[in-house]
Amino acid sequence: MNVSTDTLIVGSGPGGAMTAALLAEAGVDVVLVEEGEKHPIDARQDHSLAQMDQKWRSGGLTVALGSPKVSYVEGRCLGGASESNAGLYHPPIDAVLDDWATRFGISDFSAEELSPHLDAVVEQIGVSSRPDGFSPASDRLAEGAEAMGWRWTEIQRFWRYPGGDQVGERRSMSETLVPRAVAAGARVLTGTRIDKILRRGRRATAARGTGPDGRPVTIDFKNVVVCAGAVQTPRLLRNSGWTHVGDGLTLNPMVRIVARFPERVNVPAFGVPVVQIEEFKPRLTIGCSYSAPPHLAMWLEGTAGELRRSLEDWERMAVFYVKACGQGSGSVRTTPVFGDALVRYRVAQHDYDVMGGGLVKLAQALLAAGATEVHSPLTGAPPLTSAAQAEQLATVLSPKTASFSAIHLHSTVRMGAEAAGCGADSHGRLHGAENVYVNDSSLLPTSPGVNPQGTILAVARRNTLRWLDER
Amino acid sequence: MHIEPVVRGLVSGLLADGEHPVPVDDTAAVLVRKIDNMPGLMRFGMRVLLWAFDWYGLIRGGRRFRGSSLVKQRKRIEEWSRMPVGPCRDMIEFHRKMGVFVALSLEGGEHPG
Repeated sequence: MNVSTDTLIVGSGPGGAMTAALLAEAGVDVVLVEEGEKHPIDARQDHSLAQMDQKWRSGGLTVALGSPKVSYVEGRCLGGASESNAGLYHPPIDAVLDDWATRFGISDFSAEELSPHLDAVVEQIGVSSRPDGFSPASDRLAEGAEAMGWRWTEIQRFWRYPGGDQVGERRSMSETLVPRAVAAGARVLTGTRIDKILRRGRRATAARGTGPDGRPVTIDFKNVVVCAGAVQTPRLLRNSGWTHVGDGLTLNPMVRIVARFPERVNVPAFGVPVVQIEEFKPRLTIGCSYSAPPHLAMWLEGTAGELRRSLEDWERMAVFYVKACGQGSGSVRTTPVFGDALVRYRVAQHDYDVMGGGLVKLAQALLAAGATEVHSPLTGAPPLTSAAQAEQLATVLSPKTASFSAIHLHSTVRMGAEAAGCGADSHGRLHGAENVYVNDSSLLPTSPGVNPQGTILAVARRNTLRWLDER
Repeated sequence: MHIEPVVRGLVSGLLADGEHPVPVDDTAAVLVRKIDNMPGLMRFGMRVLLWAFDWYGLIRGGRRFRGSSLVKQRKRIEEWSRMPVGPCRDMIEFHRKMGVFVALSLEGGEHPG
């Protein structure tokens, strides 16, 4: 199949969908390519085994190699990760944005300058609080924070609750920006994987890949915007000869623990819990996770019989997490022979210290909120029942014992001055290329320390409007 | 190598007990499918580890893991979960965590397909 377009956009997650919508609405001929398929938003239950298979790359089993390894997830469907993540909206921290501008030489970039783009994201996509309060597990976390004298907040979501409906509607990309792009004339190719961008010197001319029927696809373009996420974007660019990208990977390593309460705290109808402890951000985030029985069981120990006994009162248990604003660093390369992305990451000692201290804080808060026991993440360790015992958690994480996961990956094509080691300029144009742009989480120079979807959307909007001005 | 018998043994050894039935076959089938969907290097590494683990049973206990008794299978799992080599521990941890997640998801009504 051969296709021609003005602008090819690779990847339909938040960055790609925002780019496609704005360009198409400005009259640009756009082709939006997505490797995964289009699935109805409610095709599978959120956070279920089936949803993992359907909407995440490799069924959610992707790993950054290192000691310890860090498991992470990437969306792989129309709309990308926005189709299956928690959809939490947290505005970026002003000091972090200003630090990015200074350290990486990003022009026209500050908290003030990003503010109208954030406002537009909130207004156009839709961000809401639950109409009927938090889940009981979130309430316990908030109570614990107050007992410890710490600030906490409700994190809003890319969600809406028409008529006070409890379940609500996810405001994912396939429900918002992709339909906007299509309505403005964008063509969407799903099930299509781009393997290489063909170039003539500094100028890219076409993209080559595979269509849904397994046949080769070639797409000729004037401009290409790569928005395939912090792993697939550098993989594609490196495969195409731009080998200055792929270093500097940042992520937020996370550890989960289970706490048991004397009363019911786990109500799946509330969906994702939305309370986070603010006191230690951006260095450390403490929150509550989705806690259906299969999720609880992953963080407990025992045979099926023992787990079932533990889970007989699963409604009194919930999963909580600590997440560090990672100070480690990693890289993305291509695996020889297999051709997949090879992701490596080294967890910094600082992150062990932050997360160990965070586990102590979390356990103390939960116990202060009435938890009867907190399960240590250390295999074989007995549950903790007092604040004094919780101190043990400070040292449970080590390269040999830790089991980290990460949801947010960034910084593999940082924006900023070339001299500062950035892969793209201040508005996402790839250094060393005339007509290749990046517009996704890869651009964020470091981990933002908060849920990044709002920041990614706002930065993508900022960059796209700039490109339109330059046309 | 057919990995399903090894994965089935791991699911049994990690989860089964006399008290409650566990959907061992369906859980193992889902895990095998998940391994097959892993990125290439991970898939290759996991298959090599499962192969080594299977033959480790012969060296330590006289029979390959897949054909060992449940008691011996548990012993081999215990030994590998304490191995100084990280990937060996990771392989056991993967089957423990994903095994319980899949088994409980299936019991909760999710379809193995």
